[in-house]
Amino acid sequence: MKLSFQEFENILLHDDYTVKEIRHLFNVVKKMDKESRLWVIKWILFGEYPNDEVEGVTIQELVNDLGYKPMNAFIVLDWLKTDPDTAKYFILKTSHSQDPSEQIGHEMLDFLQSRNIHQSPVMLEQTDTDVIE
Amino acid sequence: MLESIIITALISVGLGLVCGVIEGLMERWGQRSLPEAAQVEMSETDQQMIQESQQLIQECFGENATETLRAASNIERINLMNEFAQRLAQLYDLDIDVDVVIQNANNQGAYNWGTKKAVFNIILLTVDADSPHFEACVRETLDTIIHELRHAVQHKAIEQDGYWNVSEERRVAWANNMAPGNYIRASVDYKGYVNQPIEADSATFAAQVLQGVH
Repeated sequence: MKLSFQEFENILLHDDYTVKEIRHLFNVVKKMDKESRLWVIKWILFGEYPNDEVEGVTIQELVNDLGYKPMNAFIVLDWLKTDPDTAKYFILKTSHSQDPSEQIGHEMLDFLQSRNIHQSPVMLEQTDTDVIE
Repeated sequence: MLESIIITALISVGLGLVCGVIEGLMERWGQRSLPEAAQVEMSETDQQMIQESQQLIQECFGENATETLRAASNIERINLMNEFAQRLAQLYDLDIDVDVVIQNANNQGAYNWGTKKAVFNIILLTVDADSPHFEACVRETLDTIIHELRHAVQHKAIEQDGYWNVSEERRVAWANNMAPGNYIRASVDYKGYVNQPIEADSATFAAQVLQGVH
C-alpha cells in the first residue's frame, strides 16, 4: 500500500497545518516503522483508525479524550512504541509553551545574520521520494 | 469573602482537570520522571542555578513542598506560588513581568516572548488536598513555572552576551530554533516539539530542579 505526498497534503491541508509543517510530518511518517506507516496510510486513504493499543492507549483515546489532532496522535502512538518512558512523561504533561518564532522570530534572524550564520531548518524537509509505503 | 467563594467554586474545576483520561493514565503508568537519555547537557552555571532553585523551593515551601501546600488553604497556596514565581524570576535576574492567575484552562502557564510576561495558571493547586494526585499537581505547577522561566532565560541569554554564561554555540542553536518557521508546535508534532533545542533544554532544566524536591 502506497501513499503519495499529494494525497497526504490534501487531507492535512484541511487540518490547519502550513505546507512546511505538512512536509515535516510526511518525513516523520517515513521514519516510522512499517506498522505505524500502515496506520497512517489507512487513515489518509480510508479514514480508518487502528484498534491497536500501545501501552494501554488507543488512537481514539488520544484524539477524542486527550485532544490530539489525528496526525499528532499517530506520532504519539508510534513514540509510545519506540521510547515509552519518555513518551509517557510528556503525555502526562498538560502545559505547552508559546511559539517564539511568531513573536520574536525576526529578532532571532537578526542575531544569526549579525554572525553571518544562515538559518538552518529544524523541521524535516522533503527528501528524494514522495511516497510512503 | 468573594475571593473565597470564587476559589471554592474553582476547586471542582481543578478536580476536573486531573480527572478523566490523564487521571486514568497516571494510575496506569504511575508518576513519571524524565529519563536521563531524554535529557540534554546542562552547563556548570545551569548546575549552580539548579541548586539555587532547589534552595529557593525549600525557602518558599519548607522541606516538603507537597505537604506544605496540602496543609495550606487555597488562598495560601496562591500566595505561596506567587511568591515562589516572583522570587525565581529575581534569582534568574529576569527583567520580565510575572503574574499568577487561576483560570479554567488546561495550560498551566506560558512565557510571552513578545511582551516578556510570564503568566502562570495554578488551577491544579485547587485540587482537593486528599486527592491521590495532589503531589502530581504540585509538581506539574512547579515544573511549569520553572520551565517557562527557563524560556525567559534563553531569551535574555540571546539578547545579552555573557548572561548566564551561555556558550555561543547554544545561543545560536536557541536563536535558530526561534527563527521564523523553525519552531515545531506541540499541536503539530508533539515528539518533535519536546526534542527541539529550546524545549529539550527547558524540560531538562525543570526536571533537574525538581529532582529531590518532594
